[in-house]
Amino acid sequence: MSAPASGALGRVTDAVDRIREAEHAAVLLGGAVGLLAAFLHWGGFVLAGALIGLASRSLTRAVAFALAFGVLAWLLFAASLLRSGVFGAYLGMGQLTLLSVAVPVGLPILGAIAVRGVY
Amino acid sequence: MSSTTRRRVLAALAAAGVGGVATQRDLVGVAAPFSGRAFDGFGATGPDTVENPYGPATVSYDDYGVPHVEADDERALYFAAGYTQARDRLFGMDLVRRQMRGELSAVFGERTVESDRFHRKMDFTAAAAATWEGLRGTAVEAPVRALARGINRYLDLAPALPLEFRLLGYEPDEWTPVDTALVAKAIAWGLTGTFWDLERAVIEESLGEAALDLYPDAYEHDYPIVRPGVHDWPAEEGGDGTEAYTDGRESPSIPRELVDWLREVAGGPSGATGSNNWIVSGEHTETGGPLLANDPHLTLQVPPVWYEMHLRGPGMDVRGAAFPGAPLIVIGQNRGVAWGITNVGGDVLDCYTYDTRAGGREYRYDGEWRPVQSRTETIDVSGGENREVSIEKTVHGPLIEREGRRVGVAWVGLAATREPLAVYRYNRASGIDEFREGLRVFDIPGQNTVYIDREGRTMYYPAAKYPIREVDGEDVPGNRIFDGSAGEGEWRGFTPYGESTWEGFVDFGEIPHLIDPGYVATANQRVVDGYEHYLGDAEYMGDPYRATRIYERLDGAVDAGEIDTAFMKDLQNDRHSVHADVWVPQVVAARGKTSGQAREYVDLLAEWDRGMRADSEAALVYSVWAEAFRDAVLRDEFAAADLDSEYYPGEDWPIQQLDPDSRWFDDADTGGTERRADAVARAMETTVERIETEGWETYGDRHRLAIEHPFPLEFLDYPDRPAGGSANTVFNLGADGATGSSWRMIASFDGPSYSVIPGGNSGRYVSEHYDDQLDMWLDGEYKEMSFEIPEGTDIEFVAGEDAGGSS
Repeated sequence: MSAPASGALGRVTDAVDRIREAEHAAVLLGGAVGLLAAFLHWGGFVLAGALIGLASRSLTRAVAFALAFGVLAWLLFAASLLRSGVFGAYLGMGQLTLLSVAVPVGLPILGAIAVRGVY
Repeated sequence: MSSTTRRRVLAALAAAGVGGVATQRDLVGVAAPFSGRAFDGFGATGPDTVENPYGPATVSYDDYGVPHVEADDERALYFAAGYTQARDRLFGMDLVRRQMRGELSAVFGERTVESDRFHRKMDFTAAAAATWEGLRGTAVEAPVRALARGINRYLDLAPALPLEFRLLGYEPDEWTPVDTALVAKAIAWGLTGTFWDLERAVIEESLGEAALDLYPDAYEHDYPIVRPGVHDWPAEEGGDGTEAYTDGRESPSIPRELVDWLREVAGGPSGATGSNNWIVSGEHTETGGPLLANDPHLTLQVPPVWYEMHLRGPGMDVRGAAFPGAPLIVIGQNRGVAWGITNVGGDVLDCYTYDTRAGGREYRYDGEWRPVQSRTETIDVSGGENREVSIEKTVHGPLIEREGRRVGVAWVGLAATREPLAVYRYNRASGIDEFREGLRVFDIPGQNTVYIDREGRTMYYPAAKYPIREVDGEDVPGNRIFDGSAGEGEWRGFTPYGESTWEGFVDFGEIPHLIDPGYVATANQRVVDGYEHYLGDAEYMGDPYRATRIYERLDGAVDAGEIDTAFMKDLQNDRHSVHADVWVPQVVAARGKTSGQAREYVDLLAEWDRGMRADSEAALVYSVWAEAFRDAVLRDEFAAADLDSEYYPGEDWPIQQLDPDSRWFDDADTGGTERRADAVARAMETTVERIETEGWETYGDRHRLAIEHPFPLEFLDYPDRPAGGSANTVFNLGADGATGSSWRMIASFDGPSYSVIPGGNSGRYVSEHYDDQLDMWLDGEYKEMSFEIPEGTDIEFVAGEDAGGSS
């Protein structure tokens, strides 16, 4: 829990505390919003991590949720490629393949840590 | 450090990490799941039903991704063909036209600026526009227009552009008929755009005229295409094909920087390009029907140069290899005729120097001073500073310049040429007379065209426009630089960037040719002995290694009788080295000058059957030795003249013909006088060192397929494989592993025809046909080239709202 605060910062902190009271729902919602955003821009993965970090009760939990989100996001992506019959071709793309794994797994974790450092 | 502080530091690091990623946003933007450009529409090929303004058509892909396109209307057919080409090969098509337009830098940045500068200076685009203008009103106009519309329909409907566009982040322009003409110019340039005249001048100036014995006017050998005593062509009196073309005139000084620049940017034919084809009449075959084999040797690339298609429309049913971006089967077969081509190597490019004044803005010509036509264009450079380029022309053609020296260039392909019309006629020909009507308008690049038909007729015709140069009323060779101001050697009837009347060119009927030969083989060797006109010297035409092997085997098979398609395939995959037949006895003769491992290698070669097989140790030794020997013979003299190995003779044949005591075998770096045997032995010592250093055990360890995509992304390249063959064997694969047989075809009318390409028919990385023929090609296997349309329709074209509309 954060220390008591006053003024605008206090109101934000109170809001964050309330969000964290419903941690699982908030993490799910944050992940969903981030995932939707990721369809438009890779920054969605950072956003997902940030929202997950915001909703998590501790840094450790934030990292764990962000990691889970990243793995799930990549699995969703892989499933779409499997469905299109191009998963084998995707696996052969070398650095692009590695990067396409690193982005959904790594960026949410960075986003989560960055936010947990502030709130 | 408190937990809060630690958390804040961690957060700062994480934020920095995100910031770091943001600096690589282009890369991340490419590879991110869901939004990444690399995966946008990954695998999607477009709709199954497409509106066609010209009427219905169908496309059915076979087991190798070859589209079988069928329509009752000619324009509907070519519209569908264009759509299909774009679907499978769009990026390659765009790359070719960008290169020829001089627009690569707009996408690739600084590294292609000089290429763009050269291509703009040559103004290939204007030549293509003139060609298209000349084709308007001919039978090929409608197919070219329909093809362009089909390509553009794909651009409109494609769910996503091919991967290459998405990685580079640009969209292609609309396709136009001029772009199709540009594709034709690209092919012609790739086979005939050589500045040997300038290189020859540099060599002569640097090494002295005596060095030209390494660059003979013609190679001495017994296997020209048209063989004395075998073929019925009237030879001129006294000629044996090796007459001296040089006329003793001194070449003007040419800055080496100009030649080096052209080597880097011009992209003309490389020394390794060549081709094989041969035909056998029914008189010598098992079935009594004629047979044809063809394998053109070009740069092997991803995707392949050729795109296989089957087009069935009104009055036409043709299958074979096409260039993406053009609607025609360039090598192939229809229901009545089959044809194949190899490059003649005709000299169809000349260079001129001029007297100039007014700071080069005027040049003297025909007794008066004329202004150099000039305009300025801007080369757009992605991520760099745009460049201006000055495009200058004389009556002969464009001016190119380096180190203050300007040279005028005339190239047959700069005129309005008609080869698309020629190939259109090939596609529709039903017999020899109709096919000849195509040959008659085949202007460039000169091709050794071989022909067979269902009626049993055969033909060889190297149709093209070959310029005749005259100086003081005398025929002169074109392998030197002419005085443009004096009008020396200029081609009568040639108009660059316009319609030519071609009076000063070899008349079609006078081009050496054979009607109904029993058999004939072409492998880029000289066409004929004793011909009255100069067609090109030995640096333009090929060595006799492959031709010798093909003719020797054909001679034997004809004597034995009953040639069949199995023999044709076997010969097309022949890895025997005639190059080694010539050299190995000389290596063995030098055995006494070797010792240790070098002597063991000599003994290995003595026992070798001279097959360039991937699993052969002897082939490895021979290939390394041949390279070392070439260097041992030439490097000292060339290095002393500050000429690198790019200036070595294009072929080894002239070195093989040197006297054993020739001065070329002497090593200038020693005090003694070396002879051929010394150079042979020294090269074998080098071979031992090289093989030991590299750790090679067999030829395939060294000689490997290296067929790459233009992008530096490894996954787009074809897989690496140990490979047999060489640049000198019928089964053709150059030392670089990236030049060789770009299409193999065996055509028959009495049984199946066969074909294979080195890779796959699709340029789409995700396609199962991206490289599905590569191993077949390497193993000498073929697929049937059937005229049966596969069951099921992959793309159905339905009459659109503007069906029958204008083009």
